[in-house]
Amino acid sequence: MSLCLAERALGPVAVPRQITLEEWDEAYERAGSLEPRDAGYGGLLGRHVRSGNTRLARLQFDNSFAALKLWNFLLTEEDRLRQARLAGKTLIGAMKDLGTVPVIACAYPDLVAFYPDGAWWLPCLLEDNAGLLAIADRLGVDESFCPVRAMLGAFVSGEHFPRPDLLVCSVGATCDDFSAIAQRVEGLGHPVLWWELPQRREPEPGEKAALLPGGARAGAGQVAFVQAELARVITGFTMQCNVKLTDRMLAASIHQANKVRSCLAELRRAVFTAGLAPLPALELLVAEMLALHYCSDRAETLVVLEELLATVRERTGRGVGFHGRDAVRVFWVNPVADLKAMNLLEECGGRICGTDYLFTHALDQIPDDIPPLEALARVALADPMAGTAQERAQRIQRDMRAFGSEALIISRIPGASHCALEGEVIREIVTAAGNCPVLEIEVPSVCDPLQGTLRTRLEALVETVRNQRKER
Amino acid sequence: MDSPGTALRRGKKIIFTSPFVPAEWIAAHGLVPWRMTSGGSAFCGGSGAPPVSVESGVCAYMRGFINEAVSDPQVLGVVLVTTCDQMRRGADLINLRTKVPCFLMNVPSTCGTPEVSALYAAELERLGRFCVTLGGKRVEPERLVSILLEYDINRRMVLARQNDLSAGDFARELQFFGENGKVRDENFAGLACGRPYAGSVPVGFIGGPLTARQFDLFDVFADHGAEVVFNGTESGERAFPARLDLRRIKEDPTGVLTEAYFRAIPDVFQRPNSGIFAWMEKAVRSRQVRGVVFVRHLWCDKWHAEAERFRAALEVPLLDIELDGGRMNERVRNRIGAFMEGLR
Repeated sequence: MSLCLAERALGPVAVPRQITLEEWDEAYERAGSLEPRDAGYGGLLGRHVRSGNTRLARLQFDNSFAALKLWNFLLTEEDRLRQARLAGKTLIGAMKDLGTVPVIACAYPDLVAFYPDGAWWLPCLLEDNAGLLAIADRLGVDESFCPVRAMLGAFVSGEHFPRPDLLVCSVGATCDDFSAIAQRVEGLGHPVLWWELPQRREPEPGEKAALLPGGARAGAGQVAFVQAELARVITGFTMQCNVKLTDRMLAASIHQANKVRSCLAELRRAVFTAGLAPLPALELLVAEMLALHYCSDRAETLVVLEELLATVRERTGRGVGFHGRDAVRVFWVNPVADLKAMNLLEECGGRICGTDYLFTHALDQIPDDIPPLEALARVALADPMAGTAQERAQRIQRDMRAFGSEALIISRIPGASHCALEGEVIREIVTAAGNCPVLEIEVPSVCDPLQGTLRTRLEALVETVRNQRKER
Repeated sequence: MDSPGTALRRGKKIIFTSPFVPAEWIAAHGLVPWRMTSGGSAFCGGSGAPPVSVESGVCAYMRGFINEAVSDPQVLGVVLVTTCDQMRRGADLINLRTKVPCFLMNVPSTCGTPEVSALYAAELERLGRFCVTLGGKRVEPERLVSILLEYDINRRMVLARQNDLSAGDFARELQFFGENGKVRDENFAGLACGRPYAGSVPVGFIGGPLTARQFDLFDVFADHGAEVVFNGTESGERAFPARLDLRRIKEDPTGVLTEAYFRAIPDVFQRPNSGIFAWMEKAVRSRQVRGVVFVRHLWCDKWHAEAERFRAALEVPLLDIELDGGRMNERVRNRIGAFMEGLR
């Protein structure tokens, strides 16, 4: 695709712009008939607002068809899950591990995995008009917990994803909010297959070291332990669908997962290192999320990402993009509870050049030169949450150097048990290492009431970096 | 991190607070196990900032424990466990901001498979090596057996005092045992030593750890006519290990400790956590309590999330008390009064 079709329809040729949902729908009406193959989920973005995702009406979107496809793919996952159920597939509710269990599930012909954790964003997307947080409140899980408590509400209401046939949840070196809420889900009568993810540690003297994706290390004994835990998960899957998993099937699934990860890695590199941002922060965040469980359709995920990458390359080749060349290059830590915050950063003069949304282990390549289950054990152990905040900070610093980030934003998740201290450690290490401004903010599920304060703080960060540039 | 020689000059205390750290295992390595009950103060250290200076979003018990442990003049090392996020991140802060050696012990959240028991046992071995690097001794089998036996006997002796002491005094007795590994003098010196009057209302406690200041809670309940007949907080008898299997001590000491600690202590972080519900239901039934007090710290998600399930599981009323690390405020006292009035 040489030029994006929406741009043609909207007027100024070849100008990437951020547009409102209303503008998108108008453009779609004019150019929709030209929409590329959509695997049945394309259409007006506005229909998602009418089905309750009212937050979309307040966001700014990339005006490419690749971005439209991305949004439509993301927002139709529930339909795909219900179709899978009707088609007789077994639905696996993977919880917390973020990126490992779905690779196993995808190795089976008739398993479909999704993350009920995704309900984390429902209070934002729905602007809590579904009352999920109120349900959690009634169950005693109040606002002192992180927004993942919406998952509890979603299990009770039964309206946002079909009831999984099997729930699988990692525990141990995971976050307390999630572990506590997953236990409550089990208490509501949804049996959970728990598996242990220990705190990652350096090899003991005399113990063989295992290199993990992303560069961290663990003791070989830990890898063997997690491998045994994942074997328990496989036993659970096999009992559900009566299909025996072979190494060959698992290796093939890893191969496909790596295709998605490669594409995403290239997309991130291309966006972060371009002179002009060829894709806005919001769309890139959504693209990264696809790596977790492929929105319940891995083959289509790859198509969506490849189209985004093609758009990015095409824009970079023409030297066009967003926000101007003086946009401040920001590395963002932790996912935002309100997607609007990504727009806000750009409105304040920033752009995203590096991310750690707490699932870097879902982005790194899975080793393909070792037994497949061992490879997945290494991926699981590479979870940033399973290690120390110091290790996480080291990777952040490394990636900041690679992507040329000029400032760090640590976005605290309201109520999350790990954020207060983890953010403190990361901030201290990054600050001590060099002349890089660090900003810690907290973004609630709907940040409108705080928008003024957030804007001021983001603008101050941008200004600080620009002043530093002048001094250099 | 200090060299072992420098560290040794500071003292020999290995400070921990989790009940899943076996004191006798540290003692068998020639060091002094010190199960610290946080005093609930912000920081006991002299100069410099406390390692945990953040307050918002941070568990006050963890904050108090970390700050007090690293500022103890006798500390040689600190042992934390992975049973909650806050303690895990507390370990990060100790390593970042102090020179006190810190050992983070993996205590699995799942239980029931041989693999997780083996993981816990392997962590004990690792803890042993940590002790040795700090100047401790390698375990000698004969010495280990005698230490394990001594602890086992002392633990039974402490527990036997439950019927002779008020709940507050028994909590202080357990604290003394955690710090010293032995029972206090026979005359209970320093304790008020008195049982509630006949006709008092039996209540039980369940919940996370209590700071030393919060032992006052028991006295407040006593003032309102309650007799606390079980202490299921992390500072009470619920968190005591099972009796050691003396027959297997010599050939498999870590296996014996794993059985007594990891497999026997019920806790809320375990997945599934049906064990702690079973423990409470048994305690409520056998001791015929008329109300249960659920104590938790602000920002402790794992206890907080379970409050409603405990309430639903009980046939008697439950009082949910959220603590912030300090002494009780008037509001809590009033709620206790109202709760006790309802039980009479």
